[in-house]
Amino acid sequence: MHPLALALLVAAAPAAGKLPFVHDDYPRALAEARARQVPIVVDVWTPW
Amino acid sequence: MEAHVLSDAHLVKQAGRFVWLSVDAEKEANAAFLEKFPVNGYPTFLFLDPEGETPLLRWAGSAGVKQFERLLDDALVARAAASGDGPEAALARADRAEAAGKGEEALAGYREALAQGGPGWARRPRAVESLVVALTAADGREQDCAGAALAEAATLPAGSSRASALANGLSCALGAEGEPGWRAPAIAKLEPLVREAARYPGLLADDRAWILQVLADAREQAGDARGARRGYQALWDFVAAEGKRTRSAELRASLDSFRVAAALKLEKPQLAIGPLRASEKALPDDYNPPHRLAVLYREAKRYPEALAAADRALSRAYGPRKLRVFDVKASVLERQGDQAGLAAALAEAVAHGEALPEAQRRSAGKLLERMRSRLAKARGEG
Repeated sequence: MHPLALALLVAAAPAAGKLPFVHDDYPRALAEARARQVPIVVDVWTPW
Repeated sequence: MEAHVLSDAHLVKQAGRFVWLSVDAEKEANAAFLEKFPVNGYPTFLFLDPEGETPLLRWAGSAGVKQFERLLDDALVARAAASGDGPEAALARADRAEAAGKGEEALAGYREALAQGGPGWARRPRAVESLVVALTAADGREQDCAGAALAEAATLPAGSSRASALANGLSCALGAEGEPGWRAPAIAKLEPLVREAARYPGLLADDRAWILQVLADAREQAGDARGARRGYQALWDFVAAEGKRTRSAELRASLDSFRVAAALKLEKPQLAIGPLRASEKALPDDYNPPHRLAVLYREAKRYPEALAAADRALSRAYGPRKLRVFDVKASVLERQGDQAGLAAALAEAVAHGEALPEAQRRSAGKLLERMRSRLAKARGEG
């Protein structure tokens, strides 16, 4: 399976109780958002 | 935020409406992203339209579940309706401008949205909160910020937006440099309103702790030592009670910065050592608990324990904030009079800072510069 298709499947079916965050990979999130035509929610955080 | 709000079932149901990206600002891999989409603090939630990579909305700080759900809706509105008429479209344009770093355009947009929406507009609390937060981030706008809090937030119903806008307004007034004539009257009006807001039910624990800290700071700045002590004691009592109430280590640790601040202001660093040791045990990969323990041990004059804690933090820290841990270690060595150890720690810190990617090095600029100069002095070159 194409890695992006796998990523889309993962994004569309979140594990119970968890939002399907992509971690530290903006290009991957951007590609997914363009493919699904949805906005990106970015949680910019730092260990605090 | 991650520990409670982002795992809420209501939000998880919305997963498919967005792509969710988590960006650790300390990681080198994210330096280019942050160069492109700068933020003013952490956490910040940024909503992006993938077409053209357009920022739609930026939200600084935490939010409750309902508030976050409304932000998700607002981001979708900002994507679809920014070119229309009416207060929602004006708010969407203001949100887009703010997220793109166009501060003045955003401020004008929020004011336009509020004027169009009128007093009964459902989005008024969020628009007021965004206006005051945008003024908080703007340079030299402390008077406008405090003024907007008084003029707009004071008319909002009791709730998190009113509390946040009022406390930001008070914080702006406290942060104004010099003693401008507007400052004391603004503080006198805002402080009782913020004091009342601190008691609103339903505030997030970190928001309530922040409001209590702002109130204690206000008493301290007024030269009211007893009032300040009462304020920091109230902050300590609140975070101590929250620590006993919550079962989640992450939630408990999210209030650690307030525990340390209150304990230090009360000149009782030992108060916070137990809770911070518990945080370190529960979150063994997180550098923050040992970093904060190093500060507490240093203030308690327990220097060997401070150094050991700093070294544990250094073994887990990365990115620009690692310099802050080096800074604490250097301060401990300085108090011990260990010149050779101080020079070695500073040399290691400067080497770490100079190896950071350019964007991260810039964000650590002042601290790195100070460390270079301290290193030169420690080596007898200064």
